[in-house]
Amino acid sequence: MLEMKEPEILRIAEQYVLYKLDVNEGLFWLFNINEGTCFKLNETSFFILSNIDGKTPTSKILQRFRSRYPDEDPKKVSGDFKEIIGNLKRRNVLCS
Amino acid sequence: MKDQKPEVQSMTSNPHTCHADNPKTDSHDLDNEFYFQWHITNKCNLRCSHCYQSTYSDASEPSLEELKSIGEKINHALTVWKREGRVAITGGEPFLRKDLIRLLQFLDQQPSIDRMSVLTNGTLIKKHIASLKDLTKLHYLQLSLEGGRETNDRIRGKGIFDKVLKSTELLNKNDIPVRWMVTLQKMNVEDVPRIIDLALENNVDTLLFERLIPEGEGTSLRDLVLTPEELSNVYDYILHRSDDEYAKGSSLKILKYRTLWILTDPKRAELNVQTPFQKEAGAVCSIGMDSLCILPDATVLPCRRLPIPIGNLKTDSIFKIWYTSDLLWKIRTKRNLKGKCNSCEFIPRCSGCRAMAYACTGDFLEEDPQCWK
Repeated sequence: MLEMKEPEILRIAEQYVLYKLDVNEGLFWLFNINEGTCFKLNETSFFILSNIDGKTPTSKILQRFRSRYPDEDPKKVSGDFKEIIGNLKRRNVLCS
Repeated sequence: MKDQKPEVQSMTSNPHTCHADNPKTDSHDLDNEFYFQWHITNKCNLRCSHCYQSTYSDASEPSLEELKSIGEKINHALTVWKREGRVAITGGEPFLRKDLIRLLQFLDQQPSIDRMSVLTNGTLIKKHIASLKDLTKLHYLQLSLEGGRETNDRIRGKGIFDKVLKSTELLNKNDIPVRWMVTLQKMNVEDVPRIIDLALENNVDTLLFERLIPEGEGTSLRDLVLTPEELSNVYDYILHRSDDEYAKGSSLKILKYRTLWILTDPKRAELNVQTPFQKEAGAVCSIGMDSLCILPDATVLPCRRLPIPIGNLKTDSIFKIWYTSDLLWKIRTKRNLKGKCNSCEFIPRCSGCRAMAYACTGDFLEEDPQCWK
């Protein structure tokens, strides 16, 4: 029997809060409200994180991400996307 | 995609430090300071006419253990943020708490609390002097004084003026620096020259002038708030009197690190003067930048004079409050300011008093009603 792989659905860990302070000045933040640490984001990483809602499959978010950059090499866009997702999973910012 | 590659940069400091221009104001690195004003009791033995407290009840009085727990949270936040920690213990009247000294001793041991002060009415300190002297991080005691004997006692109660002067003498004898705090309003504005005389005569280390904010018991005192012109005149006097005293060799520090002071002499920082205390006039409002206020029941306010709760340390972490309060973000984002504050060129060194705007208009983003620009 063919085994079907479940689509990956991620959410931002409870202790993290995403914040958009100022689009014009490029101020996007991710705060850990338990440990007090903070991360400065660029607009692109903010876009990805703000799409991670615990309901939408990662593949669907990647589609949205690609559609933002129609003129870019799709492989490069996918690579950057996977890199940031992996990075945030390793930091326990993202969980299943 | 070259400029759009998603990035996450770990930061060692608070986001607000990237968002505002904080001037340096004395020999300490104020850019790196964080100030907690911590009210440990509502009880008070005085009933000053301009007090911002609306209750003197001890119903929400925390135990010493609860206070220590908050002290640990403060220390932890300062450690994570790598900020120089200043903690001012006040009330009500903090010396009414029998365990005040034990709390101060506990805070003295917290590694990330660098300096402590006690803000008091100065009437109850005598028996605590020896214990206070033993604290290694006690920076100063701040006593409230409103004018000469007649003016002060009309505002703070009969006999209080003499008690404050006696306490000042006692603290000086024991090498504990004394700061006097004056709340400027119509009842005492004429006393300012006398207050500076008194500070010089009584070897006061530092003199601080605050503005009367008509909230709490002070709400009925709205008519006593100085007009912009009156405030401009008295600030101008204080600035020049301060310069004159420095020129004569006085070591009295008259602090001018508050909103609106920048208007007295915008180019002052460029002057070739001797000390930071002469050089500086003006500072941006500290709300959302480098301070928080904690009440006896652990409610957190953006500032004691802006009585809008933004969290409670019984249930919220300091980080959660600091990073997620909408009020703090609204105030940090200076373009949200309204009226003449919005377009003022001095925003990075002033931004107006948000508490005064709130007390007078109900909107903390409104322009500072006392601004004379």
